[in-house]
Amino acid sequence: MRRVAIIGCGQTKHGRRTDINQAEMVSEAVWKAIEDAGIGIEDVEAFAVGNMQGFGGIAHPEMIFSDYIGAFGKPVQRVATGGTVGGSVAQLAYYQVASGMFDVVVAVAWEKHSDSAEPGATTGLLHVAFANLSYMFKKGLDMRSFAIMGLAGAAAGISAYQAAQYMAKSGCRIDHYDMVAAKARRNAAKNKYAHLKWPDCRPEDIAKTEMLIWPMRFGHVCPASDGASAIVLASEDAIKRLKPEKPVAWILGIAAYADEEADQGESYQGTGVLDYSAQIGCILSAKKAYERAKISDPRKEVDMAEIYAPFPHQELMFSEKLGFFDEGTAWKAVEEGITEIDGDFPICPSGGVNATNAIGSSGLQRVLECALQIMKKAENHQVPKDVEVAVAHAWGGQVQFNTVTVLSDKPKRW
Amino acid sequence: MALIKEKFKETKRVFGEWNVGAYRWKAPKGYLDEFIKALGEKKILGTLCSGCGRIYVPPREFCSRCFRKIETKTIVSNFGTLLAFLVSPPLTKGKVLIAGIDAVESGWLKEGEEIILGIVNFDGTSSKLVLPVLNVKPTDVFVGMRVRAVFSEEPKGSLSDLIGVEPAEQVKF
Amino acid sequence: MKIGIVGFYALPQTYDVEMTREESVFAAAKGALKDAGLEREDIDTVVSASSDFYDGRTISSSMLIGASGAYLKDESKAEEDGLFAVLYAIQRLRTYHRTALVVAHTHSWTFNPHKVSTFMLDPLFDRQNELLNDVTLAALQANAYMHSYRVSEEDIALAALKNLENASRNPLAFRRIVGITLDEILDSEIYSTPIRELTMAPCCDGAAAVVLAREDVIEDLSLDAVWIEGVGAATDSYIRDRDLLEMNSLGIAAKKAYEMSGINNPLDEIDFAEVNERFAYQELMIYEALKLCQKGRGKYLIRSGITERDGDFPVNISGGSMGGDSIIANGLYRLIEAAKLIKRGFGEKALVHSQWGLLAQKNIVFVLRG
Repeated sequence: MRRVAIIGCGQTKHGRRTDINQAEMVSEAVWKAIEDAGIGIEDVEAFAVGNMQGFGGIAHPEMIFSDYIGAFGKPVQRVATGGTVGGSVAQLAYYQVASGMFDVVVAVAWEKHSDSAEPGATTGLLHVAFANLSYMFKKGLDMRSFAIMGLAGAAAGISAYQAAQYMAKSGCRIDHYDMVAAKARRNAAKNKYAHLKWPDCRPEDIAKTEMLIWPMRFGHVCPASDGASAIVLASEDAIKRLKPEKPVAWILGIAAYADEEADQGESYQGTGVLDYSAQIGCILSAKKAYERAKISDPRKEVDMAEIYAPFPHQELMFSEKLGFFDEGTAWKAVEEGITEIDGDFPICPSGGVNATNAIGSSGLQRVLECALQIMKKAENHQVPKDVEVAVAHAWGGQVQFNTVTVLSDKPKRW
Repeated sequence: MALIKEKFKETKRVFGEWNVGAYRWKAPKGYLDEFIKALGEKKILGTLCSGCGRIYVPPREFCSRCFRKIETKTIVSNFGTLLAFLVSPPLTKGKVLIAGIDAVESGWLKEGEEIILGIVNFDGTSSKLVLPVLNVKPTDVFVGMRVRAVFSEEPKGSLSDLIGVEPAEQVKF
Repeated sequence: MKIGIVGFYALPQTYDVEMTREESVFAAAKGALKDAGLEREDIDTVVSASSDFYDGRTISSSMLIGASGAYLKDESKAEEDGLFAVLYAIQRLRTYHRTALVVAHTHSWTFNPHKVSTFMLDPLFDRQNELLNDVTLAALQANAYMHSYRVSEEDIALAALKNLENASRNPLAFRRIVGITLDEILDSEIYSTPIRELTMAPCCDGAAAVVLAREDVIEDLSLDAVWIEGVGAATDSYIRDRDLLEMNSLGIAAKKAYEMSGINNPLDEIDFAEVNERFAYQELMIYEALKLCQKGRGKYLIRSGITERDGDFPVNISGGSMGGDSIIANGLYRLIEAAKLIKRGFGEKALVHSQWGLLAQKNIVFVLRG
């Protein structure tokens, strides 16, 4: 099994991009990444792509722009795993290189929500459960019950239930969610590619926003952004051959365990998940990724994390599952400022998914941002401390898919 | 390598559609319909996995953990525990839009009402249901509260025959 | 590190199947594990394949985790032909994992797959043209091919005849017309000249699964394996940007697969092939891209009878896609049919091919050995 590193990163400005179409957006990210890596398109041997095609309304879009990204004549593999598709794409690219099949691979993930006629990517989201809803209507779901379901569902889906359950278990308060959301927007203001920037955002500003359904405020909800991000991965041998000028970020270990659906099955069936915030899949993924990366004490050995948290409670919840804080104590770290950009353990210095959410791209952005931090290329949102080990995480589906990627500045830990 | 492109503020628009309504799906026989029938009799039906003993509500055909088909159906307790809850602010017009229709204006939800959504685990089951918590003030709801299922007095043979849950006797000490 | 197929299972292809998605996927996964003699605990990773647009569910694998056996397992989902999921599984097996389960399905009854092909078109120009879909595009390519190389309708119908005859004997196939004749094919309904009902694959419902393992596991557990000697994949440009007279990406993919498996002369060194020909004329183009004959001479190969069931190089003994096209699962059906034939001693080396995208934009080729 060979060692793999990220040698180049590229992303487009995320936000509401009505100035470009999908093909142009994706090629912008890919060419930036190739340029950043200091290689030519002829060096790229394969592609890993992914997005949630329902949002943009084009089926298998990478077929249309295969020439735009230089994929002509080369293998292109596509994956799609809900919100974590970006993470899955990065992991697919890692497997492509680590398996020995290819030496240099480009991974690109994107989303173009503004192509959807309804705001906020409704059609795509609706179709996650449209079949279930159709079935429930057939079995007699009245409009009142449906409207009640839609109260939480429309804004945040099952994440609202998860926020309530996490709060019940950990004892945190809604102010902690406000603190995390404010941090996300403050950090995003330093990130030239992010969507929702708010330079001096304070928790009180978030607390003033409208309450959608307690404990979910409007200020907690992530935006629906357009954007693409791409990374170039290369094997150890290829790096010796290509001799990139800048430092590279090595991928030490990855894992992607899937849990059962958190909410309901195919046709409104119950699932065996009692606690939306238990996240066994994430705990197992983290354990396995650390094992493969030879990390025995994440709290001591990991320097920062990019956690996929479109809603603030998920940053707290997952930072515990990933082993950075004890169960139910992450909110204390937020109070003490530990997770700020200049804190002891920065989480989401890029602003995270709460400030920028192009569903396809967000998972890959987490890996990309960790790589930028390791390579010291994060510009204004570079964390002041030295980053030797960073962890990128993403979830998808009914908060059931997980991808955990451990990156480092060195190819191996002793 | 730079992309050669004149900078337009906005791209031109062309339209397309995805006829979401034209899809058809299959559902498992004998699961949800029996669940609804039981609701009409003021009972809750679940499926019991013969491998691990977990009970799934609403009834499920497969146990993911044991990787086997579930054959047994069983009635479960009408009592349960509230694992967590959400509270909507007092509802007003223009705030709750379902598929483009204002839920308060069309009368599905009443103006000014505060809806409490509870995550309920009925005793003995390994599943949870999200149901409205009725007949109680938002300030009196707490995690761990004992609740009891509330059924419609005139069952129509639909999912809404289970209206929600209400507080049951709480242990006082 | 060699990889082998140690178990497989495919459901009979039908239409309007009396099973839910979950039931089909479960049956396929369970069947493949049973065939391999393994339990769910023995599987390290699961790669499923399904497509949101065909299933009508965003995140189509979300509610299939339990049914595909992926509960608390390292898993992912490829969103294209099942053989690409097998490619991904091989990459996983060569890295961390020792055994893998690949399961793919599509129920075409859910939504007209030809309508989905219109969603694959470039939205700015081609999709605005309401005449374009995979069938009319195939007609364009067929016409170009027939015109350039003087291929007649009968040449193409002979390929369809061979496959339909073979399909009529295959219990897994969907379209089984016993006693099919050339006249019947040439008289069948025209969809878009020259594409006829019986020269194009019928979309159907199907689900299939295979279990793969690394060579050390196969040795330790003394499993029966069909070895994967070589694999190659490539993508072409979009339909308007490429030469439609040849399957360029298939040529590149086949070359890679041949190199990996040390094959110089496919016609001599390989015993038979299972290919995915969504339209009968594509089989002739596939022969050329696989270097079984020269460009434009696929018709001679068909007329020579070499690719018949009893010929020197049988192609599509299972009936190929003419017998049934379950979209995402199609490639896996081709793989399973080839593996079955190898296990029965029909031949020692087989070539398996599948395509994805409009006019076979993407192609993937496997070389199997018994």
